Amino acid sequence: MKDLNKVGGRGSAKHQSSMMRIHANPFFVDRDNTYMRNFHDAYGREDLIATVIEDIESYVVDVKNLDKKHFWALAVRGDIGSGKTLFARKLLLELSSHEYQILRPLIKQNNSQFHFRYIVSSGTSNGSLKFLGIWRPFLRQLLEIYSTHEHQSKERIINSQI
Amino acid sequence: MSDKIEAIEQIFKLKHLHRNHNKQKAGFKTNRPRRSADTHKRSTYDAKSSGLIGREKLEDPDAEADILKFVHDFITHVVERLRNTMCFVVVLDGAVLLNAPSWTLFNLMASSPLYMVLVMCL
Repeated sequence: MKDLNKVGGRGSAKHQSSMMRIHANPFFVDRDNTYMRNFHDAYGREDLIATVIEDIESYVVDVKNLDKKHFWALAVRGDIGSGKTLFARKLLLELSSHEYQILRPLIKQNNSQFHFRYIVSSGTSNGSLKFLGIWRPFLRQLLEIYSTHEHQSKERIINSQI
Repeated sequence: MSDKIEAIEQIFKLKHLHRNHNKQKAGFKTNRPRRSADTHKRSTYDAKSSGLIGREKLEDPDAEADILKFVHDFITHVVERLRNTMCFVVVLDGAVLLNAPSWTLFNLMASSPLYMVLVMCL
């Protein structure tokens, strides 16, 4: 966990990123081979989500150098079936259930409207062949949210940007 | 220009964006094999596994950089505009399937200020 905090940093203006490994693939029966021994230092059994949420909280709430703030990124890597998607799903659930608690300082300071907006995109082998395949659902939702916020049609927004 | 706009329409699933002229071109072309006897004789498995078949390509190769810049500017503009109202939490599941342009966009996003939380499952 200490490593994760070190890499991620807290509230710095620089690009923040973390690479974490979750628990081993449960389909591997032979746990005594070299491959499985390498997973002994995995983070799976620790309360990882709480630490990640703490890190996100410190990033979101710290409004210093907001103009220069780069995105906070977390890369989860693991074998097929190791629970990466489940981890992301649990993280979103936990984040949404603690949303008010996390954003309370910002809501008090700025406005009561501030909230998290969740956008989920899933990559498929077919989508990977398309230009910006995995980003397309994200871009479409971003446009949808923006057009609703600005009360303008999507075409008008894109035309004004081109 | 038309090629670029056609591609943007496909990416955002929109229709009837403004064009400078009426010439309509397909933004992307897909290099799918033609269904001929010759194609069926040869095994397409190797080509499929290498990702050569079905991959979208822009008719104008120079348009790719323009589109990536446009998309990046759009993301930056929207996130900046909504910064006082919301913080985006983006989850990309199956990010191991990101292709080269998608990684280029990721690098562009990483190089500029963006108030956003991004979780990628690789």
